[in-house]
Amino acid sequence: MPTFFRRHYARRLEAVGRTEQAVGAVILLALAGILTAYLLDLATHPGSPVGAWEAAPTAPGDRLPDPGLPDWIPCRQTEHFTADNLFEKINGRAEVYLQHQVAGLTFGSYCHQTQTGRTIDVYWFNMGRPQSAQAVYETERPAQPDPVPIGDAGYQSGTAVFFRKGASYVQVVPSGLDPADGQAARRIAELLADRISYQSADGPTSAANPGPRP
Amino acid sequence: MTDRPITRRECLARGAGAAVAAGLAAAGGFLLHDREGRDPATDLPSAGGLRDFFAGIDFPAGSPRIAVVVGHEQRIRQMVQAALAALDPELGLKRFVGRGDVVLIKPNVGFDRPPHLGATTHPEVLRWVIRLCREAGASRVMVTDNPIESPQACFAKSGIGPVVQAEGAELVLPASGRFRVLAPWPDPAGQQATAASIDWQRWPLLWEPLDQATRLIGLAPVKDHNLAGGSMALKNWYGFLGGRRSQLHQAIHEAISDLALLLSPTLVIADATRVMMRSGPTGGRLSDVSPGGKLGRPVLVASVDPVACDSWCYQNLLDRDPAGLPYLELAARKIQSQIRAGRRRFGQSDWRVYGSEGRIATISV
Repeated sequence: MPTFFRRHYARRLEAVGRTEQAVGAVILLALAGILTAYLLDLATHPGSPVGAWEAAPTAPGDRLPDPGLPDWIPCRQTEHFTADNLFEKINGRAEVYLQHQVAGLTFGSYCHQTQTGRTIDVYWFNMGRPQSAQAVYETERPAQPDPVPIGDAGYQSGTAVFFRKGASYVQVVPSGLDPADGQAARRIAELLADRISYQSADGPTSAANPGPRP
Repeated sequence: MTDRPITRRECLARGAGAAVAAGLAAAGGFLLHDREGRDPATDLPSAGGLRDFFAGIDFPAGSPRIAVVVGHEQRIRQMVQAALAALDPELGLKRFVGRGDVVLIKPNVGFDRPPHLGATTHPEVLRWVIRLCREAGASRVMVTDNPIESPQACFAKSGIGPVVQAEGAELVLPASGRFRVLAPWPDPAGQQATAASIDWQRWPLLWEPLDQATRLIGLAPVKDHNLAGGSMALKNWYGFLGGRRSQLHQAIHEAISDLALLLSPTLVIADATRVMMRSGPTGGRLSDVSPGGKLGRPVLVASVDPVACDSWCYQNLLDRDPAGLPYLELAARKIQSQIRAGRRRFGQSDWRVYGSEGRIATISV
């Protein structure tokens, strides 16, 4: 019995007729249409895999830069949120940022190397343009901030540090009230501010400007 | 099977057949598919009605409706004890929790924030409520919430998870199998009682712990809320909801007042040990937080009337006019039909009514 590869054909393969080519094209088009319709259907329903891909991260990099501090390291991959799914991170507060045309949020954490649960969280908001960053920053700034020379108009509240620079608005929030956490947060904020350019909407992740700070 | 080579006619016939089959399959799929889409979160069995968690409590008519305790960060235990003792001077928490009760405590663990920022319930308040429930004879104490963010991260960073573990209570995480949708909820007159704009029969509720509990205690932080105005005892029930809760933001006052109608708790405790006065509900700045809010010292408010509790906290802690908080009046109006039918006892939108009746106890510890 001839095998699949040794099948006898009535004529040579290259002599495929126009009608056969047309039928083949119709089949391929139908399959492509089905696939397209399937993907469109998924994309129109929130929560579908395609929808999730479309809302997926646009910011570069997957880890915050190494702060060069002996006790603190970037401890998990950054999470990225767009205007469409910002509520998944700051539900109830997202509208404030949406009113100011937020483009996205990158969230990441630093962990203490020896004390489990001691973290410093970084919320980097890409507000799209400096005016929006300033507006939302002004909305949240306390009446009498404790200024720190980080970015534009940085300030410290407890152990947390807040600053804006260009289109970015950054919050560095330790989990504890230990003054050492505040010093680490400030060092991290300085590092991030150095890595955020005024012109670009790039985030402070490692891929945006790799390599440790000198 | 023969070795006969395929002919042109057969090739065309088979190709045409395949195309027709593919076309029919595509057409069938197009016609039969669910155009609205199926959301696994709402494709759930119906839960039936919710229990009245205040049912069977012989609450004396002359007892305070609201108990306010002003204390100190280092005296959380005394504050919790005093608040419950003030609400029922005779029995304290034993008035509300009896031997063999299964108690569900609902703190607010909505955000991946540390305790000192006031976005979540103070873990030490929870600790002492758990202990007092056990002392009152509870056979089980469950603690649950459904944060938008990672539940594990929220329970850990808020300090709630470690306290639950240390006190031997049960942490009920919002696993998908624990959700149900609610059965229809007509008011006693048979009319639609909840907001027409919200289809609660399609909305997933963290049902399993509610179904297992015989008593429900809300334990909510008092804080500013960008959309709702304030987040206190009533807003805390949002944490029982699954699905895409942000969709409810368009009608947030209706949603909160509906939850006030749907959930009749045993009692609520407003945790104002640290009040987030601005930038809520997430906050982030220590400067956003004030102990006891306007009062400047840590406060706990225990109440059998969640609506009045919120009204009191909104005015006396957040320093805002309760008349400007729409969900209070909406909730009171919705609960009225149940009160008239004798199925509910309390739902007062203006705390001053209790004040004028001498039903507010204030203690300093």
